[in-house]
Order: sequence, then structure tokens, then C-alpha cells
Amino acid sequence: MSLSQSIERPTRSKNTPSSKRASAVTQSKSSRDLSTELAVEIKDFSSWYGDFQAIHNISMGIPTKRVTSFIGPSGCGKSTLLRWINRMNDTVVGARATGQLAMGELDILARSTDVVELRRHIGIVFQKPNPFPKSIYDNVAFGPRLHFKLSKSELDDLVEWALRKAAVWDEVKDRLRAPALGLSGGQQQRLCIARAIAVGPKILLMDEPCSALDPQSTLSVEDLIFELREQYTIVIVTHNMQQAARCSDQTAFFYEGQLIEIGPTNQVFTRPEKKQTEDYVTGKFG
Amino acid sequence: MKMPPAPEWNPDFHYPQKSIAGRRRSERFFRLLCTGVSGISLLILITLVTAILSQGLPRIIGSATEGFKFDFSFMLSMPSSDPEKAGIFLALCGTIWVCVTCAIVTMPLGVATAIFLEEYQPRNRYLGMIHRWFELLISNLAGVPSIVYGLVGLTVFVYMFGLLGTVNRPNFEIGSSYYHQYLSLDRKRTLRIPAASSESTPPKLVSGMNVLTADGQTVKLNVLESGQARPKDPEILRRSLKQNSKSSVTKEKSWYYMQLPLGYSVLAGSLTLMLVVLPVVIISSQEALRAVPSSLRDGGLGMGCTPWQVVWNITLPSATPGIMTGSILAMSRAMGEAAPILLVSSALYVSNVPSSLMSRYTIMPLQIYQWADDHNRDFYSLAATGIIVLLVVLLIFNSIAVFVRQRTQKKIR
Repeated sequence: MSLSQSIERPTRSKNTPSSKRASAVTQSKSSRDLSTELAVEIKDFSSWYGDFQAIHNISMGIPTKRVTSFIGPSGCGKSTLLRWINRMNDTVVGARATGQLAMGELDILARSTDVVELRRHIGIVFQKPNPFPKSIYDNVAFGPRLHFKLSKSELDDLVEWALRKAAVWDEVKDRLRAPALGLSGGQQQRLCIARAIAVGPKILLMDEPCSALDPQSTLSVEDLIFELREQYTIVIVTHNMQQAARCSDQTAFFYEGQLIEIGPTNQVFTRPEKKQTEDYVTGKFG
Repeated sequence: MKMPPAPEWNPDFHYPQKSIAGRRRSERFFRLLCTGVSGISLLILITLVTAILSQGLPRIIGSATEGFKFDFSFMLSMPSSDPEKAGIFLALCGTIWVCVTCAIVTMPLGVATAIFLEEYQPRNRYLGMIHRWFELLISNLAGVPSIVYGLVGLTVFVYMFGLLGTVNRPNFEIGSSYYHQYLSLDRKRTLRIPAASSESTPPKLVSGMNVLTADGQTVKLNVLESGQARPKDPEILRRSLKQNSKSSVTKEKSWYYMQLPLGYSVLAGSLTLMLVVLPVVIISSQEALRAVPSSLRDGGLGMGCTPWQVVWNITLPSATPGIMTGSILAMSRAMGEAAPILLVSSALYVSNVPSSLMSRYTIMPLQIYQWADDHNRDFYSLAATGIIVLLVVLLIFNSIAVFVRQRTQKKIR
């Protein structure tokens, strides 16, 4: 399998104060160019739950080290597509898919693809923060312990690196052994992101990561996405159009299982090509 | 407070009003009914406990007329035909042996089954159908009368369908040794010669051959020819036999003795009890596993756990308190079961505390039943005392369950 990749070395990055990051987010409105190579290529992709077709023949690309957001009303198939990218839909009884979903050379949908290895490279963060009922430290160390052989001090460094990267280090460094369930919602979600990046994924999938959070925590998670976008390919599903506009480079609009429009975020929000997209982003429906 | 009817401030609500007094009456009636019903069950409980305590307690704490003093001899003495001396020690030991073995066998099996049923659900439609059938069967098994399990245990474990010999002449044995046993001329000592099996013929006795005493010492045999005078020396007499002495074959069992079929042994009893409580353990463990939020499983799978790693690292630790509670409650049910054990424990009088898995045994409910059924009326109060001991043991077990649950919960939260 062509997946072997060494984990990025944990380095003690300087933690920028959150006030500075907040200002950075407001400036991020111009989306970066999308001409990088594709991290995931989707071709003629359709998906079913039993007899119900959730996704109709979608083709699109997700560029490397860019933030792609999926927007659209509930039930339009955006979460389904996201969950197919790292095969989380394997756990859903009756879910199946046709078409092509490729990460480089690797055919994601192939039966022979090792989902355990695949999910190490494509991490996922869920809608509801779901820290394990363990300590903060053990939550972050959980993934590395599964995948890598490391010494105690290496593990300590890795945990610190991930927590710093996820911008929760300052808040939890004095209580790493405390239960993770004692954290606030926003902290829990950032902990889950730390947990996801601690196994060194290339791609980070986020399934409405802020919908269970208050505005303050939402802002902190958005800040985090803004920080991570330099190093990771991020796909974010969101109901919040301002969020998509604020933190993504590319936006894809789905409606009833169809991909209606995809393009640079600026363009989709300011000069959409389709009437449907315009109606949705301007709040006429949805 | 008297409220004006709604139409006065909202003409849309012009419907006739139901009588508030009537609703209040039915409320009062229902509350009274509930209180009455729970009162009845409480009354039954109080009557039961009082009756048992008044009959059984004097054996333990003495009575007002003869002065109060604690007497634990009941817990520590063997069964006896004298009600004054009889105690429950044997049955208590039997119960502990059987229940501990039962727990050791049942817990891994039950929890593993629950994990299989709950965490490895098939995605294929036909396998899914089989899976649902299986679950239905198990929940039905939980409702089967325990005497039926007793019969199953009798055929499967005690007799093993008669395929492996009889209970007393098993075809398969480990840890047993046979001896031809003789009584020495002084009639005080047994002399043994190792035998191959229970059917082997005794060897020809020769002077000077090595024989064993009952405590394992090796001595030289002295054989008296016919007509030869008895030796005077008691030391020689002790190891002397006549040429044509009669022997019998005895069987010695080591601590790891094992036979198939299992016979009326502790192991057979435990396995039978396992049949009784296994469905309960499976169902309660399944419920505990189901209560673990699926977001945790998704979280584990999403970062590249194998299904087993999810079970071992996430689901099982979260479900432990529930599994523990269910299992310990199931064990207390096992402790109180009399019907299945009635069939698979030997009806013979048991006189020794069980020393191995193959020992014969009796358990507290059986002992209580025996006392309550005795012709001698004096044993009746003994039955009540036995019930008190059984209840106390059950209470202790249940408190351990609560304690363990509290502790594991604290560890997780």
C-alpha cells in the first residue's frame, strides 16, 4: 500500500495569543488559489442507503492543503459524502456507494483498502464533541499508542505538540490527568481535533464541528481551522454559511444529493453561477 | 383559586369546561390505590422477615428467656441428626464453591457473547436475520424454568449422555490412582499395591516386595505361608499378610482429579447454574454495551481503531459498571437457585466439605429444604436460621456489587 508516511515531527510551536488569531480570521476572506494537486478525487460518485439514493453522480476534487467546505440544506448528502471519504459509512447498515473516490493512487472504496490504515491518514472530527471517558492526556495519546511505537518522552512531546496545534495546550497543561469530560464544549471539540491530528493525518474531515458549540467556542475552532490550513487538507461540512465564507478556500453547494456548484469560496458567495446557489447563500431558502 | 372561565378573555375558547373537582378526585383515588398496593407488598415483606427472624434468630443470638449471646456455631458446624448441633457450614462452603466456579465460567462467556452480539453485528441481510433470531432465542432462554436447566445439566454434564461410561466408572480420568488394598495382620494398617485400573487382578504376594502404607510410606512386605506362625514383633506384624489375603481396589484422587462424565460434582453443578444465569448475564451485558454512546465508537473507528481495539479500549471500559452490576445480580440469583441443583447434586448425604471441582456438595437452599422437610419438627427453626444466613450472604454480595459499581464509575468519570 502506498500509504506509508512518517508522522510530522512534533515541534514546540509558539502559541499565538487568541486575540491575534481572531483578527487573522477576519482577514481570511480572500480564498487562496486552488491549483494545488488534488488530495481526494471524486468521480461519478453515487451513494445509497438501502433503496434511497443519497448522492447522485458527483464529480469534484479536493485540493491539497486547502479548506473545502460543503454547504447545503439538511439531507442533501454532504455529510454522507464526507463520511465516505474515510469510509466511516462502513458502519452504517445498508450503505453502499459506486463510482470513484481516490486519494492519490489509492482507491478508497476498494474492498482491499485497509480502513484502519486509511483512517489514520484521513482523520475525522464529529458534530458532537466525543472525548473518550479518559483523561485529557490519554485521549490525545490514544491514537499514537495504537499506531506507533514510541517511548514515554516521545509520547509526552507528541501529546503536547497536538494540544498546542489544537490551541488547547494553555488551557489544559496543568490538568492533563483530569477527565476530558470535565472540559467545556469548545475545549472538548478542540481536544477531539488534537486527538485526530495526533496520529498524523494528511486530511482532516470535519462534520459540522461547531454546530453543538456556542459562538465563542465556534470562533476558537474557526481560528484553529485557520491555523491548521497551512499543513492539512481540511474538508468541513457546515450549515453556517458565514463560517464557510470565513474559513474555506473552496465551497461546494449540494442540493438533494446533487452537486449544484463548486468553486472558489469568494466566487460562490459573491458571483454564484446558478440561481439555486444564489438563493441559498443569500438566505432565500434552506 | 377560582379562575374565570377562558371565554371571558379569549372568545375562541368557548368549549364547556371539564369538572376540576372530578379530575382531582380521580387523582386522589389513583394515589390511594398506588399507596395501597405498595403497602400490601411491604406488609408481605415485613411479615416474611418477622416470621423468619422470630423463628431463626434465637439460634444465632439467643433468646430473651435464656439470655442473649452470640453463637456462631451454626455457621461453623456440620449437618447432624441432632438439631442442637446441626449447622450450615457444609452447605455454606458448597454454595461458595459452586457460585465462585459458576462466576468464573459464566462471566467471560456471557460478556464475550454480549460483545459478539452487540459489537459485531452482521451487515449482510441474511446473517442479520440469524443474528436477530439468536437474540430472540437468548431472551427466551432467560425465561425457561430453572428445573428444565436442571434436567439439561443432568444429561449433559452429570451423565454426558452415558457416552463416556457411568458416573462411578468414568471412561476418562486425570489425577486418579488405583490400589489393591489389604488389611495387615494386626488389622490396624492398610497396605497397598499400585493397580492399573479398577478391574486389574491383584499380583502374587511375595515376601520382600515393596508395598505402600496409607500415608505413602514404602515398606517391605512379609508374606506368611500357610501354617507359618504369626510373627511376634509388632513392627513385622504390621507389614505382614497371609498368602491368600483378600484385597479390594481403592481409588485415590489428587487435587486436580478430573473425570468425564462429570458426575454429581461441584463442576457439574456450576455448569448447570451457568446455563441458568448465562442468558441473564448476556442480556444485561448487552444492555450495558448498548448504553455506550455510538459517538464514542465512531470516535475510535475514525482514528483508525480496529473493531476489537474499540471494544477493548473504549466500549468495554465504559460498560464495565453495567456489566458488573448485571453479573453480580445474576450471581445472587444463582445463589438462591434450588431447583436445578436438586437434580445435579447427589441426593446422597454429603459429609465432607468440597475439596476439589470433582467433590460432591450440597448448597444452602437444598439444606434449608431438607430441614424444612424433616420429620423432626425441631429442624424447622433451623431452616429459618438457614434462610437468615442465605439472606445475609446475598445482601453481602449485592453490597459488593453496589460498591464495585460505584468505584468503577468513579474511575471512569
